[in-house]
Amino acid sequence: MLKKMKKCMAFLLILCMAVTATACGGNTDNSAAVNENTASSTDANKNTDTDTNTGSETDENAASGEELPRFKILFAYQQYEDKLGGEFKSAIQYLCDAYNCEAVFYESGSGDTAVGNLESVLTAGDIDGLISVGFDTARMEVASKYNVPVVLACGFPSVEAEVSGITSYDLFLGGVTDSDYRAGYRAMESLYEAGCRQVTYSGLSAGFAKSHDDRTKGVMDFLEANPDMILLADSYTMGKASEDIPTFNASFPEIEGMAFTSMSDALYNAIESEDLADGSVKIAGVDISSKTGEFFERGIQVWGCGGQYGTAMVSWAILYNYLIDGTRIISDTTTPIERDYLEITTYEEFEDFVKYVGVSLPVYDAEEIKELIHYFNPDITYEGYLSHAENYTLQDIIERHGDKIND
Amino acid sequence: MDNSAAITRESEENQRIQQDLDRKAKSKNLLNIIIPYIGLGFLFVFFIIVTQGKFISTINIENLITQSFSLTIIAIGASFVYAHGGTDFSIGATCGCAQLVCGLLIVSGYPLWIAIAACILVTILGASATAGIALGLGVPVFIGSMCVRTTFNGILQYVAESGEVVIDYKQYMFMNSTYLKVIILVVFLAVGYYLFNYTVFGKYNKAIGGNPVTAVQAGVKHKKLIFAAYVALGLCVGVAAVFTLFRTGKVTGTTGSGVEFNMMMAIALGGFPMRGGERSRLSAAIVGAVTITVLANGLQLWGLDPATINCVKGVLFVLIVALSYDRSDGKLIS
Amino acid sequence: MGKELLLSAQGVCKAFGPTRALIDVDVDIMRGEVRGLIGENGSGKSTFSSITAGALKADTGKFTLKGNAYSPQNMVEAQSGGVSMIIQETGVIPGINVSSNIFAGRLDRFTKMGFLDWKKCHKAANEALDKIGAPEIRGEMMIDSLNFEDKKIVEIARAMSSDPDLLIIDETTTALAAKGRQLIYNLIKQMREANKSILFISHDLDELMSVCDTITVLRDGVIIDTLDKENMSIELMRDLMVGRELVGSYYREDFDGSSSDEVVLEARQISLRPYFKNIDLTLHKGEILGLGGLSDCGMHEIGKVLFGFEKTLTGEVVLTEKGKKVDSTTTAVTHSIAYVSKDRDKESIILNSSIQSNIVLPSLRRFSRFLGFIPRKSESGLTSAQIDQMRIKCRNGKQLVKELSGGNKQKVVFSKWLGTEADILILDCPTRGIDVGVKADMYKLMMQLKKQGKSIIMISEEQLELIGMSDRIMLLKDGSVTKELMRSKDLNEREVINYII
Repeated sequence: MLKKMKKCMAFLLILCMAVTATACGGNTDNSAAVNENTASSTDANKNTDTDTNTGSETDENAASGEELPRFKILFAYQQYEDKLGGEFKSAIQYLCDAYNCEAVFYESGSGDTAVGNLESVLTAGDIDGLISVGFDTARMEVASKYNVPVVLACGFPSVEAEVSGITSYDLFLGGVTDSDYRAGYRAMESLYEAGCRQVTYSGLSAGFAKSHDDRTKGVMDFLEANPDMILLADSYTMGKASEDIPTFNASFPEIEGMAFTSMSDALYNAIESEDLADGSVKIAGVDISSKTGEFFERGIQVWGCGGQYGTAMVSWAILYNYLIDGTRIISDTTTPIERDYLEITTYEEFEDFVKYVGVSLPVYDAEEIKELIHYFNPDITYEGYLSHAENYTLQDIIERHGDKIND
Repeated sequence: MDNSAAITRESEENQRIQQDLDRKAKSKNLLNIIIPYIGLGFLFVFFIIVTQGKFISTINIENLITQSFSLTIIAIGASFVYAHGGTDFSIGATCGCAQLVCGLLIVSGYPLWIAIAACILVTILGASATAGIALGLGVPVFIGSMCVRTTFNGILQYVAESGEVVIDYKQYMFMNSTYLKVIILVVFLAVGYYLFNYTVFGKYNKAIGGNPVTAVQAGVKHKKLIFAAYVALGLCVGVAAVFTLFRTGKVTGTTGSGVEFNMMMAIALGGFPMRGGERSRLSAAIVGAVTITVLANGLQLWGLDPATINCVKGVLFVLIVALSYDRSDGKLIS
Repeated sequence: MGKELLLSAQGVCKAFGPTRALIDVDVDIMRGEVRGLIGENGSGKSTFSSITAGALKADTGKFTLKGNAYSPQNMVEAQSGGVSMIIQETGVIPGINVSSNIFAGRLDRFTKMGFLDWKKCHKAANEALDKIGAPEIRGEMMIDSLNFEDKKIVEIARAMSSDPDLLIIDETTTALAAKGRQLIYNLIKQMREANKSILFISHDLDELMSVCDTITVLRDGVIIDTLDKENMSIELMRDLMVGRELVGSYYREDFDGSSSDEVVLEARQISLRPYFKNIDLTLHKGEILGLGGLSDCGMHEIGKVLFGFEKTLTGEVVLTEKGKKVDSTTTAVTHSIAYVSKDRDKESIILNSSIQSNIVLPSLRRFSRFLGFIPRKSESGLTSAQIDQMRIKCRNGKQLVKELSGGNKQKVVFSKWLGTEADILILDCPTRGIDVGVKADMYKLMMQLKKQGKSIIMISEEQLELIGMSDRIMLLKDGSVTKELMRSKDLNEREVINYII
């Protein structure tokens, strides 16, 4: 009896310790993140002679004497351990810090867990707005119940019923997505331009995400329009693209080009181990990782694209517009604003990409984002967003940030 | 030969020691039952404190009810299956497939009651197949359930590949009413408790879990009863599936995945003996299901960042299972 | 006498949960002494022998062996210290040869640089087998090819191979036939002559009296007395074991084996591969029909088929009155047939369930009301009635069966079936592993049932029991009936044995 009692006490004690430890850990995490961001911006600023962004911004605020209202903005993504998740977190945190907002991140989950998670997070309280990657009518209903406006980022529902469901809510402000169709199309096109006529494609299972479905559609449409390009094989297994490489290679030694709906370090490693790195096979795909440069240098990769987190920043701007003075940029919420990916085709472009699209300074800095916000730029309109989207190229970013980032 | 009198059982000293041992045995059993409740109580108190009372605000209580609904209903059915020492890995797949059928029927314009009936029929069909394969072919039920799982998953993914099935969420929002869910929960709990503890159905299943040979030698039609337990589980999964569909408004390729693992977690967490038998208690499964929900809800409410949430979930699970897990008969999968 | 003290146990206590198996036990065994240890099941004798042999650890108390402190961590340690034990159940490791069994856990003495020298090992094994008088068993043989008795002999060789100072024989002889028993008696003589000691546990009081120098009596975990050769007598031993005087005869008093002509159960040409074939059997009302033979003669399986637990390949089992075929246990139980299996712990009871759950199980169908509801009163009522009637030693109906002694467990099994008010009872080894006192109660119970007009089939490997209790005996060998005998005063064991081996 005594032994079991002791066990009970120990259990409660460990519980307390574990929970308090993680709580403290959690807090230091957040503060560390904040410090990181301010540190990096000050680092960047230290190297310039002109006034720094954050510096000038606070000066401006101090000068105008008004303090921006504090909003609590919630961001939803599937998980923050992957590269894109990290970029999202960084970029959104950056914008929120610059504009006196509190950023809250949570993992969306799937199925009915997604609905439950949103319910709980919103109950925690005081959320003023939600930016979500992936959404559905059920969650819109929850958001509406808690009076939270919603903007979508990097994804938009594909099913008609879902779209009409979500857009029927007044608090739905619209969405901003990446032109996945074009990405798929361009991937195939670049392989074609590199001389490949026998190709393979590794996609993701249909229905899993609209973004991937659209890329697949782009790929297939290009193939249809160019019958002299032959698709030797395609596969749609979730997350196992790196296994396609040895399989395809074994079955089709005549492969000239391989396209992927999503690139990753694992993929590059697989290509390496299959000895395809000698340049006989060309590759193209979405998402740029650390190894991409190497493969461009060796002439294996001919096309890549990335920079999705910029889209999330635009979504943030749309939300902020509504929060600060009720401006609704998008009047017809059934159509998302489409933005191109940042495409790279050479090693030099890769280097530029890493330098300028890395998160030391996000693609839109705190000052530049003002262009999209009615409160600071009363002339901004929906059309303005469209042309702003059109200008989203690597070149544009280099022009804007060239002197703000030094090696 | 008189020393026997001095040390016979009847002496006070020995009687006291015997009573002591008896009491220790009883309290050990009691502790096994209580620990999951202590764990749950602790979580409640803890979350109330760190969320400054938001945890028990009306809206969160409502949330807790809707969030725990599925798993609790399933736990009721699962109790019968686990009581006889069975398990079922297919319920996630049948749940997803059932929602698929239900969703398709609704989208095609069939009346609601037909779609609901079909949904429950699918899960019962899946459960019957699992039990049928195992009992008919004489293989472990684990294998039967994996067969069903692969088949139903295959169907679900094949159909979902051509696109998600989306229903008109707003039209069926009344199915999300908390009152409705509470009523159904109460009914299922009452009926489940009654069947489990007061009828032949429950007692026979516990007997089979205790010793299947003895049960058969006592005249128990064990195949019929095992089958019935799976049907009961299938029914509960069906009801959970219906309400999950209306809660999410759609069916995707991953709908229903993970349900069976949540069910097993609930069973283990609540202190339900893994091998079943007489010590199976319906309340154990319920406590487990509620604990899981409370944990997920509370952690999210507390506002920790996502990585930390996963970490804490893992640690707490391990701790609570280590203490609640009923080791009387060992095996996790029979 | 001047005999030297070999083993001394002082103040040994052991409890299993709430069950106290040994309370302050003191035992002194001299060199060259053959000490008998008797007691009812649950008295603690197996616990004591297990502790002495290193299979269990005592809670408190100490042992001294050959003058030094003795506390083995396991049986291998005990064996190297000079204490070996042989037991009643099968204790060999299947699938390997005899030599590996004999030297199990000690094979490193034949191993050089990771290689096992089989020649050396077999030679040593054969020497050990020769020493105990079993030249027909050789080390190279596979253990699975031997029958039960020879397997036991291998175990004896294992125990003796380390030349122990103390050999513990825990109810081994009860499981053996003539050859095995004789081998053990020779062994005991050998040991005594070599000034080694024996601790001999058995239920056979005659055997003990002829073999042992002294006999210690245990009851309820406590030493009652130790009897010298002069004081030994069967009646005294029985009384000390039970704690009360046993009145009347052990088995039946009458020799009238007749019974009604009315047939209640009939088996026509039933077979079950590979156990038995084409068996005919009729059971009359109020009859006690005994089935006897060696353990592998097929009689146990006949019991299972009669009950519907196994399906017969040919023929059928029929309940004569209604003409109903018995093809499942459900049919059997609903038509008032009861079955007590010989594997008590594995088949007859649910160890982890309460006494109540066990007792009410076959009667639940009878109790169930509207919508399958079982009133609590029915369950608890039946349970307390049976606990009282059978005098089951327990805390209450909620106690788990696994905490009970063997005899009380069997009482629970009987209660279970009495509770169904069965008319036909198939009892397979109903008194195996039960102490004298409960055994006597069982026999009385069987007579009571007979008088009430119930019919009993008793399957038993104990010839004395069959002769003592049956109206009619069917003897089996290798799956067929060899002889049918009627109850008679002149029936004796030797005659019966002729027909079964």
